[in-house]
Amino acid sequence: MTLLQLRALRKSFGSLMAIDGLDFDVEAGRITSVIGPNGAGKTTLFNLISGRISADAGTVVFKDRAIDGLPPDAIARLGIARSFQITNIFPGLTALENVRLAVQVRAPRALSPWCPAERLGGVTLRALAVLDRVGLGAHRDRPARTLSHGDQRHLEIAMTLATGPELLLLDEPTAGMSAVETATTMALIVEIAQDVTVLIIEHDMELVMRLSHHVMVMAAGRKIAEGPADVVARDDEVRRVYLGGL
Amino acid sequence: MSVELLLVSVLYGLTLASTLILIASGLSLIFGIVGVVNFAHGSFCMLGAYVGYSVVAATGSFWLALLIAPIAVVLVAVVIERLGLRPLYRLGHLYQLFLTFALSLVFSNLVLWIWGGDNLSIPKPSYLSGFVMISDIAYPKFRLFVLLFSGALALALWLVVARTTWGAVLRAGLHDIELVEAFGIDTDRLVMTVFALAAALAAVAGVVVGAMRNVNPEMDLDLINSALLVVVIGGLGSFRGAVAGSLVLGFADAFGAQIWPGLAKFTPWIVMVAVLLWRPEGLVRDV
Amino acid sequence: MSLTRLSGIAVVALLVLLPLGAGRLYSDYYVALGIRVLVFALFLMGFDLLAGYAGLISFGHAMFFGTGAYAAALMLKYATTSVWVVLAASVVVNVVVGAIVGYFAIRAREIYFVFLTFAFAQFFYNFVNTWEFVGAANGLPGIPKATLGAGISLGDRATLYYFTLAVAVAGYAIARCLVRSSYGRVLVGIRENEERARFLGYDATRCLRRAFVISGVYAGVAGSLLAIDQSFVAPTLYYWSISGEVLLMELLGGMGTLAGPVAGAAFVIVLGDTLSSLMAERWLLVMGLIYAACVLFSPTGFAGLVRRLRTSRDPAPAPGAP
Repeated sequence: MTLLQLRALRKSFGSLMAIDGLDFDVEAGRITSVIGPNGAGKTTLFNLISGRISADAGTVVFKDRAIDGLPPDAIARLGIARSFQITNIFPGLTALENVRLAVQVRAPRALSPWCPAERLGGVTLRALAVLDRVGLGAHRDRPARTLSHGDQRHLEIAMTLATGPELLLLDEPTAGMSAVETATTMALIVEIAQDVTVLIIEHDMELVMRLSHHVMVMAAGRKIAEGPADVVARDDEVRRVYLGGL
Repeated sequence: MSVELLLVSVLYGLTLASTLILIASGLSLIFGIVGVVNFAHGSFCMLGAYVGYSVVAATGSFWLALLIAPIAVVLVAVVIERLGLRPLYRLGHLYQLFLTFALSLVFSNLVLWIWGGDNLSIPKPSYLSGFVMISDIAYPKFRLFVLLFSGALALALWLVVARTTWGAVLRAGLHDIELVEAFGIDTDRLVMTVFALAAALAAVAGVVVGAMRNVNPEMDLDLINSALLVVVIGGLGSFRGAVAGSLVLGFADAFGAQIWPGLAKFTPWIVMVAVLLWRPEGLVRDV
Repeated sequence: MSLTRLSGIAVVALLVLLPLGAGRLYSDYYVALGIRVLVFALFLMGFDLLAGYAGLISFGHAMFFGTGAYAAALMLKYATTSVWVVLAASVVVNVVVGAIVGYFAIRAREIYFVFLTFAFAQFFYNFVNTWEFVGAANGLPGIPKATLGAGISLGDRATLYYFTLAVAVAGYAIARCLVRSSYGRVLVGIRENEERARFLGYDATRCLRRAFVISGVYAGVAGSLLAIDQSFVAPTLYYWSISGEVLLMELLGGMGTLAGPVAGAAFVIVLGDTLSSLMAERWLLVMGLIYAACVLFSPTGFAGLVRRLRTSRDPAPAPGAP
């Protein structure tokens, strides 16, 4: 089933054409990677899907619903969650409080001015469960800013998970991580992908090859190749663009 | 509206705009580079005006006032930047804002203490006083001088920002200060220079506005208010935005005074609200 | 019972006892000062919700204070002396003001909030200063005394004091509830990282606008109570120095702690009163210097100092404040 459909997507910043006529489908239930050299437009693509910016032309359809032009919070509530290239968490709050806020979005009295926050007991339990799932259970009461870089990125993934999305956009989740942390993250993503459709922007080729069911290659705002990882790896155009990076 | 009245209003609008550019561009640049809204900016103008007044009172020379006032205010500004704002960078922009606000409180009361609460006027040189006849309308000569003088300064500022190497560094810094630092440029010195330059322009504008109208302990409030309106209308963090906003506000003020004298004071807000409804980010989308 | 609870009760007890000594142990003036302290305490409760918890620093909250005062004055003069109706009207008017100003002031780029609240407050000041109907620069003197109902007049200062105390205590209880609610938590999240809050699915703009209106209502009720006490309103209630003093109280008290800014209000009012009797107008200069010193050397204010004293004895994690 096609979860996300992009048609004729176009976005320019002044004279810079960041996305130049993109057609792309994301199938549910699998891990799709978006790769390409710097400046290919990958993060712009995520920004367009998640509502951070709006397209100049084209459509974004999520579960048969047009979402282009919607604000980010509306898109998030529809079931798309994303992580950022530069970790975006609540630095002064504890790890648990971070995830709790993510869970709280779906709670029935999320914005109640009088319901004491502790009363949302289900929220705390669920938050703890998600924290354990990403391996941060022991750090629940530590302020997020004191966590290591890798842990912070895992925390952000936990937060995206906690909102119960159907589509998860991960923007270079292993950026700045050591080999050990990268392996842990990979295992985590595989585990997550069992119940969520994952779209990843990645530079780590090994991760892409081992993880993805499907790969989309971008260059200069356009899609230049698409398909299973091993097929894409052998594509001449892709090789040319990466100058032997594969 | 007769042609002469139109011309006079245009002239006055340009005059107001040119003084606003001197004040608002400094504010906008400080925000763009330092990241702080300098609530003491109106105070810089006011200090410039009062120092200017004292210089003229002591020496009789208006031109000396125009020279000494900015020097005095720049000294104060540099001390503030070094001892006040610099240590607060680690705490963030909010506390820097608080500090500039506290300082504006201190300055406005300091001025009251030293110079008293009465309205003062800065005597203009005799060859700049009096009127010039535009058809049958008497237009103050000094306003023409303000237009030419501030306009020239604004033009010089524009040339520096747009055409010099330093200006290029400044514009890059407005866009991304960390990138500039990565290129090996001394951002500490850049910040201090911008702050000093903005303060100097504000002080000069203060002397000129003080001579055109009067010098009073409330002027910092009026001036920071106008500067903020300009920045909201024009968009924050760019020189072009400050120019655009100043022109809009200057003309709104000048024409508002002609079209509805009773409500003239509220024209700036009406314009601001209208601009915000049409273009929430201001007229010029900033870098 | 915790130390905080005990000290809170002690404070309230002292406040309750204050009018009893008036005229005998000390002058009636202190009751008036007490009312002023309570008025600003109420103001700061709402202000801290906005500034400390939601992270929006308003430079123009005097617009609500003044509007509350003038609304009360006009209601008392032309409509009714029932304090309940007067306060209700004040709330309604300030909700409208908060909704309109909030619509413009709370937008994508947070820094504009500072400018716009300042600019709007200036507008209100200038407007009221020139509006003949409300007396322009001279204001409105001779406002009738309010009544509580059942024949109880609030003209007697002690009675008004107790009424104000009751409103302040109720206001504190409500603010505390708000701050601990799920909504309060979302506000803190927005303060910590607005973008993250949005991308989780929170409509940050709406949450912030709501907080703005709530804080405006607090400031408005405070203004109304002051007007009821002074029987006189003037445009100075809209002047920026009020917005400035409130910011000072907020910072001195410790942002995002609720009790801190309330203490800050008491401190500034009492200190200001003492200083102004010592040095007339110069006291504002001293205030500005205290303020600057606070920013430079103790940005977390009183609450921060207290917290540091406590953690030096007993290292427990502090609640979710900035």
